[in-house]
Amino acid sequence: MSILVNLRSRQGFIEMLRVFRIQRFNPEREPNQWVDEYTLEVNEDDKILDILLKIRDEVDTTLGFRASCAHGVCGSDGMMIDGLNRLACQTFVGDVPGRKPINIAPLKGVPVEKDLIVDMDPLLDKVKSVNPWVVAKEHKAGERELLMSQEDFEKIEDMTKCIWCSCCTTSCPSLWSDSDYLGPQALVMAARFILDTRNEDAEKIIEKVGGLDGVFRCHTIGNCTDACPRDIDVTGAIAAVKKVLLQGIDNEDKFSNIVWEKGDEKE
Amino acid sequence: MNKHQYDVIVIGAGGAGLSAVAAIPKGLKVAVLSKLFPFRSHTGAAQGGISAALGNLEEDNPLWHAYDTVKGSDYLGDQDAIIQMCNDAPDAIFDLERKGLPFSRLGNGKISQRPFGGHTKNWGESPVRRACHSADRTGHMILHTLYQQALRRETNFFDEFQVVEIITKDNSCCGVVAVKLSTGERHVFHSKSVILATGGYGRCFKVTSNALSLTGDGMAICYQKGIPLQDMEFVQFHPTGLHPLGILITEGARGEGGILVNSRGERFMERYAPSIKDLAPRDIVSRSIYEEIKAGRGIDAKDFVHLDLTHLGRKLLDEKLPDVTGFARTYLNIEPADEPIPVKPTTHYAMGGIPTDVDGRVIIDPDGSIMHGLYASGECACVSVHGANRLGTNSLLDLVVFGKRAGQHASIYSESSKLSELPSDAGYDSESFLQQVRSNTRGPKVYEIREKMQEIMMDYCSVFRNEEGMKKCASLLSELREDFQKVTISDKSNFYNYEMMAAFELSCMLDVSEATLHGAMLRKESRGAHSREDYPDRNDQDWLKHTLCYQEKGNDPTFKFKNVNLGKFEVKARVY
Repeated sequence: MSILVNLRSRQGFIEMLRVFRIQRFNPEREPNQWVDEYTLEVNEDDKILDILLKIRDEVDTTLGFRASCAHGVCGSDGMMIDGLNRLACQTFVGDVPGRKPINIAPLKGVPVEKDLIVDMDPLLDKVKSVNPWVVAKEHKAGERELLMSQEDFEKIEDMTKCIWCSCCTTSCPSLWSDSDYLGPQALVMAARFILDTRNEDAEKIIEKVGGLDGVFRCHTIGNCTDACPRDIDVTGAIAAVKKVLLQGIDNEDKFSNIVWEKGDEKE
Repeated sequence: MNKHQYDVIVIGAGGAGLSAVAAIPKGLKVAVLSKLFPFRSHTGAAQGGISAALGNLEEDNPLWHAYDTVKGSDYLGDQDAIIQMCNDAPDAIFDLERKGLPFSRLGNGKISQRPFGGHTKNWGESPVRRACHSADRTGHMILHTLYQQALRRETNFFDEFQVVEIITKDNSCCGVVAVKLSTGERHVFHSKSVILATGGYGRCFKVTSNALSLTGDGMAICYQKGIPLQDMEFVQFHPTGLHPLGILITEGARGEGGILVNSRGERFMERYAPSIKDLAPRDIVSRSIYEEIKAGRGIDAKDFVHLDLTHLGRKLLDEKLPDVTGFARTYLNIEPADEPIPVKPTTHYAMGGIPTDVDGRVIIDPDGSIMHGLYASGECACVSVHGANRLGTNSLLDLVVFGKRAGQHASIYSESSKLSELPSDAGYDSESFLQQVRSNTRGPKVYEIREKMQEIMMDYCSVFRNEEGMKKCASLLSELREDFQKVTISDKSNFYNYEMMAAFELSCMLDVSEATLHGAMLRKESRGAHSREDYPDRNDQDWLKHTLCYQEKGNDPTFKFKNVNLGKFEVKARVY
């Protein structure tokens, strides 16, 4: 189906016409995916998300996609745009150069539910399976923070930026060919919690990522790092997990058991 | 209809909802409902920090924090609740830290702190470093840390469930009705207690830092059941939204030394707040920006000013403000280390909301009568710790402190009470609403009404307000409410029906917009974020009181007044 949309003209700007080819799927309507084409009058700096919202508002209200914060921090609108996984709210018309049609498709490697909406459960199950949390002694009233050096914070800072958009995992050819593989997102979380000096349960995570479907399925292809909208060095994080598995964790510079009590001398 | 039974139901899985979950003992049966996935909640967009008088860098004191909060609230905040929050703050931070929150650190391994607007030492003398932070993604870390711990506790999540109605009977709440987005099925969650933690309603306005999901749902479903909304006229406009999109640039940017300048290159905040300048509270900075614009000193005589970070150096920006400088690069193609960032005020935060006491219990009248079993916390609630204007960093503190307290109290209540029988008409209102929308055939589309509402609320009910404009707005808004009766959707399916969800959200936004607008018309004074051009002064004689707004179906809302809890800090002129 091809639709030409006349958008209200914006302040008399001369704009361009671009074709958006959106992959559709609605099992209530028909069993196979199809592509709808929308021709819109747009600017180079229009966000892809705004175009999708406009189409859903004004043209086809059944168009399915997720979105929330609309500025790259919630991770809802990961999708494949012009062949690359990215967030629609962080991608602009001008990011797809030339005048060619802009292809928009759901993330690959997981079941599609409707249009651009994929089933998140298999992705979340992978992340949950690595115990992505810190286990520290419970905080008691009057006790202060566990100390941690800024250096140790910086070791995990990059990985803590992860917003669970799954752009990395669904760009990984290893995952496409083996859906049991844990995938980059779960491994970034594993790295973040293994390397957190406060975590007393790092060993458990190490056990979980060493198996057949674990970290050594990674072939350092690097799609994940390119796909990450938060610019996390995903491949580097996975390499850190591999290193820990091969060499063991260096426990020497751990602060994890030191508690700074109230009443201690302030510096 | 699917039925579930639980001890406690938590609606919304942002910082407040997940803090409540963390405080509920394991023996109780808990379910958490979110219209998103929990880790998409808007707590994750909070940037600059969460305040607590830890004194990690210099002397600080919870009472100074309380004083600043009371003064920041333009004396409308309840002083007992504020003191409670500021006293609980240090333990709340250390608790988050033990849960795994990766705070930025100081050389000695303690949590890093930085200055923020309105936070001072020694009763307003000069800025103090009180905001604990994780670079400039503090909210993201709070959200994810709390979610991770909820996973560890094997919490029951119902993701992508839109709550459409609360079920009440004889002044008590016994559950909610929700629609599962993927199937359209209606589910009744029958429970001993319900905690609402559904966030704000920034999307009622055209320019906002808020997510698409922030449509006032929790407030509206209470309002529809006769529960009042408190102090709705107070909406915060954050001074530094990225122009023109409204995306938030944290106040932490000014905390780190950034300054606001006008078209003449003047640091204009020196004139409006001589002692703390760019770190004045948000209401003052937002008004100052508009004063500059009105005087023709906006950049290129347009409606924005510049936030200048160029003198801070690339290293500091990369270390302390990586995300917001990234926003400037991504959305405006501007390098903040080399050129100033265009900013203007953006709708940011609701000080008002569902009235509660310090244990999160929902209050239904000026005497403090309780709706048993119903709790609210976070932005959807009004305790009131923010009064007429919230200080930066206090929203995150509010949601961890009062989320936890609501979780604790709801647990005690649920342990000692029985499931009450559901009323026979449970879910009737939402069912008839959804059917009506589905059966309408010739009428306006959802977005047409929504866009008009956002425009009039921005034009007539934002930073500056006056009688004439608001009267016009009121008549336009009631026309929109009439149009909404005929709103028509073309997607009639039950399968991921976002159009139906958008219609429901719009009904909520129309309700909370009504409460906001009528509260703003009623309050004939200027206080905090509520600034009346026709009543430019604060009037403590007549208006040092909370408003409680009650919906009257088919008519304008009615109001009652509730006293402000004073006593500790003297009500004074608010000068910075």
